Amino acid sequence: MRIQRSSKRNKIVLIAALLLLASAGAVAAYFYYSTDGFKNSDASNVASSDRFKSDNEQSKELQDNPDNKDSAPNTDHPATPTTTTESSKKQVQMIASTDQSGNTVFIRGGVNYPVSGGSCYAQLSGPSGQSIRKDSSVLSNPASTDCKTISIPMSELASGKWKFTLHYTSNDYEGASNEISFAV
Amino acid sequence: MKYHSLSRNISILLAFIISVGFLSALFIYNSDRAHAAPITDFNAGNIIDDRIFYNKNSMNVQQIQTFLDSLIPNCDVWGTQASGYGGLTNAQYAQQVKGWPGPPYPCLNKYHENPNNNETSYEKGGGAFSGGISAAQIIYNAAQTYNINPQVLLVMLKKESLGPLTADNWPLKNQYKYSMGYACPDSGPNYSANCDTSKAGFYKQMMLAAWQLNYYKEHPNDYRYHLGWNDIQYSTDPGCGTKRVYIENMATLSLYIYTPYTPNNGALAAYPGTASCGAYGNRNFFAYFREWFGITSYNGKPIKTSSSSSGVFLVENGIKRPFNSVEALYSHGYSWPDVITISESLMTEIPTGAPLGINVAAYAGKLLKTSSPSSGVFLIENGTKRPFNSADALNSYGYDWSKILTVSEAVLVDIPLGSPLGINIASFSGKTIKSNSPSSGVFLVENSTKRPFSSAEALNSHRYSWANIQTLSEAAMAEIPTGSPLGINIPAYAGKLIKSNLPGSGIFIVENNTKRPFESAAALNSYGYDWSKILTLSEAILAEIPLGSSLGMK
Repeated sequence: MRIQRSSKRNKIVLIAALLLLASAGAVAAYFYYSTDGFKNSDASNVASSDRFKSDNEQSKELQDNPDNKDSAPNTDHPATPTTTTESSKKQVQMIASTDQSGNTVFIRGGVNYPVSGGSCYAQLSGPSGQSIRKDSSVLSNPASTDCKTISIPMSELASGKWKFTLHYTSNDYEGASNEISFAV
Repeated sequence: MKYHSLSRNISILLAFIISVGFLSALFIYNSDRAHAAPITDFNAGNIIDDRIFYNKNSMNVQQIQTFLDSLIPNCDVWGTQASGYGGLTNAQYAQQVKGWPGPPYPCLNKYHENPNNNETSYEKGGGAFSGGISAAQIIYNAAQTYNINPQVLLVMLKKESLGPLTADNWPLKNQYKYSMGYACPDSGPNYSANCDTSKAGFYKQMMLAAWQLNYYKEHPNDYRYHLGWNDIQYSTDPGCGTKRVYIENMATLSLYIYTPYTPNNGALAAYPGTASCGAYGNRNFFAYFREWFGITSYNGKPIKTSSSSSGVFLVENGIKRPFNSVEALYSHGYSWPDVITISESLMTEIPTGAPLGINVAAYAGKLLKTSSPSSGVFLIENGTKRPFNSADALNSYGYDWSKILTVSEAVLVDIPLGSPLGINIASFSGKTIKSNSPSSGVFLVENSTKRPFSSAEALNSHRYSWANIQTLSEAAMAEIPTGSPLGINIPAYAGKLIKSNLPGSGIFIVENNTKRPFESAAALNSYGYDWSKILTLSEAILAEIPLGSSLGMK
């Protein structure tokens, strides 16, 4: 019995000690971070006061975590192409839009992914079921790929409601936009 | 076994508690550290002015170099500074812990490259070398070649480079290879880089990025977005929706082609952090440019050159309008610290519009005069300047002379003349007035007219004080229409004994607004009146009081 009582008391003391230790750890960790614990303590490395805030922050981030040398902050990552069972090619997201100026209809759009090579085409269907295909080249951008704008003289299009989808295809990728309507 | 079990449990408990404590502290620390600096004036359709974006002469090579030096004041080329990891230097940490190459680590302000053979400071001693040109020179050359503002290229570098290079004081060579994000999309597995090695290197990246931006300008109709209305995705995730944006200029169009997303309100509010459905490329470009170079748009801002003879202009819709006076600047709500100094060449490029006079509305309700001794005083009302006819007129409105603003002739010329302001008759209502002429009568202002007192007794009878009579100019007096004369106030004589100042005048007592004559001295005495209290009035005053019945003996 005596031994058990002693063991209980020891446990209480031990738990209290652990809680105290945890609190101390928390306080220590807080001060460790708030005083740049991972940072070079060399005073000469402290950013000069005439530097800009975001530069100071980025500089500190880099010193705290040199792995940031491998990443660009807040990059807008494009959506990764997906695979389907129906096609051997990876599927890319596409956007498309249309506008008219003067007597010309413009079909614009592209791939929300920086692909290289390949080609675009717009598949149009007219009010009487007629079908037209317009091909276009590809323009590369750092974070996306555009289909060169397709210009169609209105004289080529019968009056009425038209619909189109914009397509991209290459050896590795393919994609199509949603169907878009416009009136002539 | 029991001891071991207890020991293991305690160890687990200890680890758990310390972990909780540590994570709590980290959470508290990070909460403290998250300085939100929301962006409130991001204009999605005009992220930056064309004149700024394509101003290739904003900085010369030395200015770029000085700027880079200010960004990285303490480059650790040889990696000798402490890394903060286990007592290792940066070079030791790089090689022993990370497996990265050893020094040198030339920072952006030290970096040189030979465009002809791709040699860099990494192979040539960490700094300048024969045949190499500095990063500042490379940025300048790219800007000049493709007519892009070098400040734009610097911001793109901060936005696109790993690290970024603009903040790294011991960069690796790898960070320079695709530093403008050109030809190195994150299109490999798990967003890994999928780079075109033929376009690697700081010089190529800078030139290609500048070329690309210029190409967009020269082919504005070829891409997914165009000047005018566009639906732009909020994020790379199409499920986040689109924003209808009216792209106003080539610079903004180019930025959207380069990075085809527009930040949502969450991303703007969270700057420099992230938000759900957020996109950051264009947000960061705007924020970084502003942070480094002040403004992204001259529109709505006053500008001047550094020349001492420079005028100050307000840029409105791409046109600079000269302020025609200092007061004009102030009246539009600007002050000298607001005026931005730009280069002579840029000033020349901006078409000049009509001069900008004062903003009359800024003076509404104020009193103005010029420094000329003969200047009148004007009240600015309904977009016009209304001259006061006289000092009395000004006083009659209760204005404080000390609050009259002295302005240049140019200001007054700018304000159309309104109708003159005469005296405010209402302010004299119930008051006695006279002109400054010695022969002036005294008037009571009543119902917007001035009623002349018919006599001094009349004034007295109405209980007005001679000391309170206000003296006005003849002109001011003339502005007040004259009303009917004001005779005596008969009730003021009620119960009083009166007589005329003419010899032989009878004596009267005023009762019921009439004068009742005593039939005789005996009759007066019979009422017990005191002869010494008889008031002597003029015959004219006496005549104003209707005659009542006579009073005989009591």
